[in-house]
Amino acid sequence: MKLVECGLIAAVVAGCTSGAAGDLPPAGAAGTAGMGAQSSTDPTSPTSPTNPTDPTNPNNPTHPADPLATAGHYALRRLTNREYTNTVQALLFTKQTPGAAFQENLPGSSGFTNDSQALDISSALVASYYAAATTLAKEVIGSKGTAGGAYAKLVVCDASQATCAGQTVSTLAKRALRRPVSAADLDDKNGLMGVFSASGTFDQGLHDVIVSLLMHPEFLMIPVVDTASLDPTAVFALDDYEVASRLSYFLWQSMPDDALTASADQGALHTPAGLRAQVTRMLTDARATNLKNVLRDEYAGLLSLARADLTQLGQSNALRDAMVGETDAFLADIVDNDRSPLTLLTGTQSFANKTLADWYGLSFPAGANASVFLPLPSTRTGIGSQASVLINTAGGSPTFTNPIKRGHWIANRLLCINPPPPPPNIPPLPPASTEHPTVRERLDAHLNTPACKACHADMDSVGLGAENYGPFGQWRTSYADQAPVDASGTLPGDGTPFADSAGMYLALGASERARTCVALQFMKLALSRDLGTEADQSTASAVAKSGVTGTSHFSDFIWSITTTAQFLKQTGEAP
Amino acid sequence: MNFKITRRHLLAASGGFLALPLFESLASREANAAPASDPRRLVMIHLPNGTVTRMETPTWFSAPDGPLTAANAPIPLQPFSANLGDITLLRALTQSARDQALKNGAGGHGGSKPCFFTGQVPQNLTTDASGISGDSFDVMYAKTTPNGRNIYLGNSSQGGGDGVAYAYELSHKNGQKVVPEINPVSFYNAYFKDLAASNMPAPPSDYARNPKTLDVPVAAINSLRSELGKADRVRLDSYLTSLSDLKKTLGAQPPVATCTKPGMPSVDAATANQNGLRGMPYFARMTAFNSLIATAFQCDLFRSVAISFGSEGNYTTYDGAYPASLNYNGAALTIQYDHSVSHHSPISSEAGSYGYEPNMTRDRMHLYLVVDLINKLKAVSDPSGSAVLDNTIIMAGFCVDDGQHNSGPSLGTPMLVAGGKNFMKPGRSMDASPYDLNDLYFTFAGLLGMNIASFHPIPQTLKPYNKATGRMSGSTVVPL
Repeated sequence: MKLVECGLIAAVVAGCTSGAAGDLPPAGAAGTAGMGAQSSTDPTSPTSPTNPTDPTNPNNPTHPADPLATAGHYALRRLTNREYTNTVQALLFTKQTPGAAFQENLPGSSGFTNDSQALDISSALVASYYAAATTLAKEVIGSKGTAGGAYAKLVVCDASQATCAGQTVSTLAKRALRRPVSAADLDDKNGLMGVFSASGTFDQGLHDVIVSLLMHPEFLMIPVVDTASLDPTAVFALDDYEVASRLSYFLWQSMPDDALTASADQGALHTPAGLRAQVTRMLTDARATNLKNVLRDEYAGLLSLARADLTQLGQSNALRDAMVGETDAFLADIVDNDRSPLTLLTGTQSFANKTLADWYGLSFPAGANASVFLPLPSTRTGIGSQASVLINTAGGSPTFTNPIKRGHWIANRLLCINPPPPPPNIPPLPPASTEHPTVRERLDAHLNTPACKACHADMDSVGLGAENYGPFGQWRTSYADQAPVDASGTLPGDGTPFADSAGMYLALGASERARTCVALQFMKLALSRDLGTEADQSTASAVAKSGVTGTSHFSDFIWSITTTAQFLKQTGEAP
Repeated sequence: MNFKITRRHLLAASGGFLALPLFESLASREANAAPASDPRRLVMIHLPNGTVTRMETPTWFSAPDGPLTAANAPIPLQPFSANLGDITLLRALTQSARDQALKNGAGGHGGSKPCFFTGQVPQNLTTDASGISGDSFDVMYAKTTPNGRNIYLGNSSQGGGDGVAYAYELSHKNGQKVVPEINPVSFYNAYFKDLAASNMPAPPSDYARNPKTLDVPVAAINSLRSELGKADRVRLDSYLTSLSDLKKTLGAQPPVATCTKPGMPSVDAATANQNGLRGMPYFARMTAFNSLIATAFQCDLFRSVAISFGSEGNYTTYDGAYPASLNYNGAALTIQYDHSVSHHSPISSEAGSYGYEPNMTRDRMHLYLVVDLINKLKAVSDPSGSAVLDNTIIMAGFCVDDGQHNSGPSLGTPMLVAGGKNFMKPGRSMDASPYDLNDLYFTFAGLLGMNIASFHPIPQTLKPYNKATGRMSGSTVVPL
């Protein structure tokens, strides 16, 4: 979906309609403050009419003028392989990683692998699911008798008692299906107790129920349903359990834990305070490292770099690991220390071990552990200027950089510009010639066709803007042939000029479009879909205004995303 | 639902390394994901010391692409015209793990042996080849089978004395070397001695025991369908279709194995010097193993076998104790090291060259044993009535390509793949230069229902070593 141009992004959609239903489902009639909460004059109170992050605040710009356009439709999707592994580990207390052997997930148009449009289910994958289910079930039964093992954690009653089977199955099913179970779910003929009873023994029954649950569509997929699901003109709110699932797969890439489920049981996720409390708790939990890993592997795109062999390019894999480690530590610092998400664009610390510090020419503290990643003052700005990203987008040559590849990454990831794919049979860049000695001149010559230039104008200016960084991310002012590097240009859209690569990354940090793009990228990850409507841009812009600033905090930013209509509501679909 | 991954989606992903061959391999592997009701087996055979692959000598590459016939069969296959329809000859297959090991400083033999079954580059480049962290392919398959057994049979066990043994380096399980069984008698005692001479039905699968395990998810899908809009229903239907297919596959009756308990082999390696193999006919020992393998497959005692046919230090192995009809141009094998036979030719400058003819005789001798196994597997049947051979993949190849002391990057070793007519098309010669040995294992994995995403035991390289094919190893299907 092609995004609207930056001219429209800059125009913030005028507030919200006064008295409109808040982003969270109202406890009363439309037009109320919602949630049954009383307004406060304290501007820091979440119920204050002047608190811009208060989702019940009618002046909160995340209130949509058009609820239908804003809520959007989240398509039913399956768990990604990473989510599957995390979920079974949490559900069955296993250390196995079955998802690693499934068919590889590829990113969708959102840029993330949890994109619902990219997650199909093949026969081969279903066979893998079944094989994993039986293996995991056998492991649980095999742990019987082990203190603290999976069996002991799942069977907390006396198996010889008649009620134990129902209690065990019911508890397990609620966790696996991520919602309360119904009488139909547990039916002793056609439901899970029917599976249990047909097995003959308690242990075989538990084994078979585990397999059944791991093949259940509401385990493997994340549905959102409502009585209004079949009305494309309707907008409905997710229930507490659906909010809990969406939240946990956003922040942990895993199922809700018992505390989050309890919060859903109490209806607390429909209150700002309740939702806020869970977001804060989840971001300070160790499982938030999964969010950091997704950002590293997919937002920064470093999964391929982590698998690459840099010795093929004359460098060491220790350097590779140091580069990936920097971005990993940088992202962890933002998540773990509740930094502002703006740090993604403006952070000026390099997290470097000795190897990377030497590479960057930074002074590593004497006596410090050479393998630890320490924050060191740096002249680089933001994630785009880190060596990991630069080398990953350089094009794979030890000698030359590819401004088109780099430009595409910057445009797509940092500015949310999505150029359409190139037409077929595109010729390669011509080699350097007397007529066009520099890469800038060759690009211009290559793109003489107006149709090509229309897209490349957005990419090439920032791709060339990164030319002060060589193929391995080191600063340079001239090429190997001594020709000077010209990394000057302007940002697409607002035309902010920059004189060199350092200037470009500074300009990106100040760019409203880039800040809005940060919000948009996180929203795509949270919602498992690509975003690009005017309403999406408007919401992202509003989230960025309060959440992607020099003084904001990561937790506030995440919370503001979780209070948007896009996160908490859904449109129906044609039957 | 078939989701087409468009190029836009590829470009939308950041980073520059997009594994395009992976998409092709995913699409073509789906058809092989579900195993048939007969079990599938794997036999991996290592032929020692390399062979003559120089194009100027009429050795392995005479057959063009197409059917293998008596008229075009290469020298080593010429005595076996009756079995050419069972064999596919892959010409010029590369071995990227081996090449990488060489690049890291390994010798031609020392680096090659551990890479052959494992696809891994050893961390330790000594001839002990320690530092393999995972499983070799035969072990990987064995772990997916009901009995979980991997069988490793060899010509010799450990190194020292009469020369370095290949057998000890090839197969790895849980990062440890697997010691081969070299004595048919002890092999018999381990697996066949207590075999009941009667039908042995396989135990029912978990699904057969309780089909409700998948009935509940199917019912849940049907219930959920009614609450979803059209586009979401399509996604759910995709799952429902695949789940229904799975139920059909699982619901097929388990095979009933019928086999006869074999007699005790007459060759007992415990009575002879192992490494020298003097006094114990090599052929008799290896053909005894073949007979037991055929019975074991029919009885479904195990489904994964690896065999190492020789070592660098083999000598007087043959002692003339093999069919004279295998001699090529009168070149008989008498008192010679296998190493000498394969490495010293008219082209080598080393003293004591024997010419390439004894190498061809030696290759024929090894292939005689491969064909012996083929015929024994052809003579026994699976529950469906198929010959066991038709449900078995046999591969036989070298890990050192040019036996004439040209241990450079793999020029393309000849590799034989035999059997498997129920899911492969044997009986031809094909140019395998676009493929790697790890692609072959990846292909086998699909045919054997292993459901692995790729066979990448070595780190992904930015470019394939020393080859311009542009393909990454381990994720491309070889058209067998």
